[in-house]
Amino acid sequence: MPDILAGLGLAPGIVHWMVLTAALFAVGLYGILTRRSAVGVLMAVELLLNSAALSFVVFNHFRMPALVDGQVMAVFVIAVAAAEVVVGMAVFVALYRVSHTVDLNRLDRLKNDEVKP
Amino acid sequence: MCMLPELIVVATALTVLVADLFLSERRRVVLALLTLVGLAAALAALLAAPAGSLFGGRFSVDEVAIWFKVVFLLASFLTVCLSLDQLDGRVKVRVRGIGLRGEYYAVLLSTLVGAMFLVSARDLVTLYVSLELATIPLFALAAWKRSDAGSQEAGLKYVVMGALASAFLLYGFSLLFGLAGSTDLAAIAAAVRPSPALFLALALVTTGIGFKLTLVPFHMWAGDVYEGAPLPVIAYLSVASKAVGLAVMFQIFYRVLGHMVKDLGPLLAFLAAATMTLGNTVAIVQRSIKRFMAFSAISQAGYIVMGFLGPDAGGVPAMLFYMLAYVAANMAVFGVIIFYANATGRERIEEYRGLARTNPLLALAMMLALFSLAGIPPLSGFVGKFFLFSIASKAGFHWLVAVAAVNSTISLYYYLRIVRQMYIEPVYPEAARLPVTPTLAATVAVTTVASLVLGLVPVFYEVIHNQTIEWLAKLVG
Amino acid sequence: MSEGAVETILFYAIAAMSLFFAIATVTARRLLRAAVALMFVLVLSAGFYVMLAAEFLAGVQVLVYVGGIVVVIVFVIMLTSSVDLLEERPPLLRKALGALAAIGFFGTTAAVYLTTDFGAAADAAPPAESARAIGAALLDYGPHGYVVPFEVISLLLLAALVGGIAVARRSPPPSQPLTSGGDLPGEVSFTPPKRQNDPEGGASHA
Repeated sequence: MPDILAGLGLAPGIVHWMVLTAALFAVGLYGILTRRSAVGVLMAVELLLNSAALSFVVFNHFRMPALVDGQVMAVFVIAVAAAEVVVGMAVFVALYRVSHTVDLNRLDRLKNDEVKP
Repeated sequence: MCMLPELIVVATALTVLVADLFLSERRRVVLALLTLVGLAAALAALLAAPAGSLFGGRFSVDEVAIWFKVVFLLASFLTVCLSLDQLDGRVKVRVRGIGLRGEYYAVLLSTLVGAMFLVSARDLVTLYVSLELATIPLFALAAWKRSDAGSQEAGLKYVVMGALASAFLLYGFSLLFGLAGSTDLAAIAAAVRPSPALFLALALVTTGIGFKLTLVPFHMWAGDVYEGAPLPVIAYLSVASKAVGLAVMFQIFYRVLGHMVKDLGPLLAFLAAATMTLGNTVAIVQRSIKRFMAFSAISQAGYIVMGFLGPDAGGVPAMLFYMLAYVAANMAVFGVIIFYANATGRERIEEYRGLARTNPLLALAMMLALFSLAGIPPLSGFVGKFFLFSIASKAGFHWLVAVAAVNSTISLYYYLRIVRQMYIEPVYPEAARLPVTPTLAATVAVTTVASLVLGLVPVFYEVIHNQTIEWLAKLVG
Repeated sequence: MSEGAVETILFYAIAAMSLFFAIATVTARRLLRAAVALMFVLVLSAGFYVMLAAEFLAGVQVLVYVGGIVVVIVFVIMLTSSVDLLEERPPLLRKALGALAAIGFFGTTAAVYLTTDFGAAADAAPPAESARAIGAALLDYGPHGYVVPFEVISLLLLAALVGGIAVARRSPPPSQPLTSGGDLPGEVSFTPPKRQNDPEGGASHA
């Protein structure tokens, strides 16, 4: 059994892991391009950040297993993501309070070229 | 102690935040003064302290870092000068929902600290984290006009785009890390060889930087964010945030890829040409002065990137000098825009009519600053552009120089649109001389004189040139 | 079944589930459902971290990402009353463009990975306790340490907190007089009882 899996080149090596991160990143990309709600877009961005953090840990594990540089970076990525979400969500809540939507398609106030009195 | 400027700024930010708690609303006027004093002290410490490094080279200050920090500190100082009238309410037309002065200055100073750490970073982790510190608080600042839907919408678009850009950048960083097996920028520079994976990493990183520096096709957020965000925040965005993008580009293209930046010439030339052309053509049709400045700033980013094309190290001082000239001219323009918005609430180009009749000096300052942005001799913008164009020409990109020259002519046309409104169009019937606050007057005067002097007196460029011309050779050699 | 085979099967199982929930995150029409799917993706990533000998990181992932970030997202979905909202389906063109971009990105990246020699996998043993090693690296101020970003991120979290509160705050604190600073016009419009009998505030709002 192990010989068959390994013989087919299926044992997860660095390439398999990196293809996985690319797939997760691509799914997030799709979400960013199709989501209409800003909260949905930010969730897709979290997918991207998560896949990038995963890729740091993958490289850490395969290229330099005795060190933890990639894991340290992943810890920072998680912390930065938290900060980003805090500010992002604060802005969303504030926007919802004044315009009752966070739908990116309906947010076109800034495009209106009306003359101010 | 080469970290002293950063520490002073951090201390100022915390002091402002704490002082805000203990001051009555009326007394909070001193917070701006406190911030300005802190920034001035940091600038003094920066110019007094020698270059050096700390933490085994993980934090390092060289000549280029010092000049970038000068740009950041000046931009922040001027931004505070431009902000304080609106925040303190010394305006005719109030900005809806703006306030919370202590938090405003503290958040502004935090982004400044991020920018300063970024140019001193020598590993990917510090580079990434300080870039985020320079970016994330700006999302909040863009949405600072609470209860103003436009400002919130600007904040939302900035959050979404900024988060997306940083995700691309981060994925690119992870590839650089994986290819080199180290987070250290020098180690990565030594390890990477041209390969498809490296170019993929480069494409991802360039996308991330492109958002920051508003390079076409990653510029789309700029128009909306500039339209909605508070004016002083836009002034900061257009100058400091752009300098941050340039600093990241220095870190990646020179520090990491210094030995192969020559081969990237065509890519960078294309980005530069597309950016300046699109920025200019879209700026022509704008009616709102904020959106107009957004596209003007985009085209300026296109000119700056030309500096990376050089076969020699001449691009480094040229870009730094242009950045400095751009800070002076752009801040002068924003000074007048903010003065006019504070006094009348008008923010459209055709509403500037007759400004030369009511406030001739401010109109003159605006005209000089706009001419500097357009690159009219003998103003500093011309000198800066001249150096950048000659870099591209020396590198053999004659077509790019031609494109840039045409673009400069186009830009002169649309900058003249504002000048025409101020000088030729009839004045508003009831118009009288508009009062200007001393801070704004001083800011506009100093920045305008600076954009004249930087162009007329060659000593400034010579100093920058002498200090930074060897920088790239030391890095690559 | 050897250990290698178990690991291989586990990898594909978690990868498949991860991708499934990731797709659910970006396509679910109810945002709350998408948030739950996102939570599953993040928990499964913690599983990946365990497989990659990063146990401490797995813990951080669950605590911060799942326990913190997803909770904030759910809060915001509720605060912006998007709970019951069925998001409109994106137009077909937009879906097609999104799919094209995603597939294009995945194709390019995967092709690059398949042709790249990432260098021989190093064979050294991982540090016995990753938590200890990470902690040491974070506070190491030598040439391989990360004390600078550790300090920088503390400032980032503070700035994000201050900025977030400032933006999301509803009205000035009671101690702050309404006639102050630049706070006046916008704030008044948010105190409904005052709004009716405050013509000035109403006028500047209109």
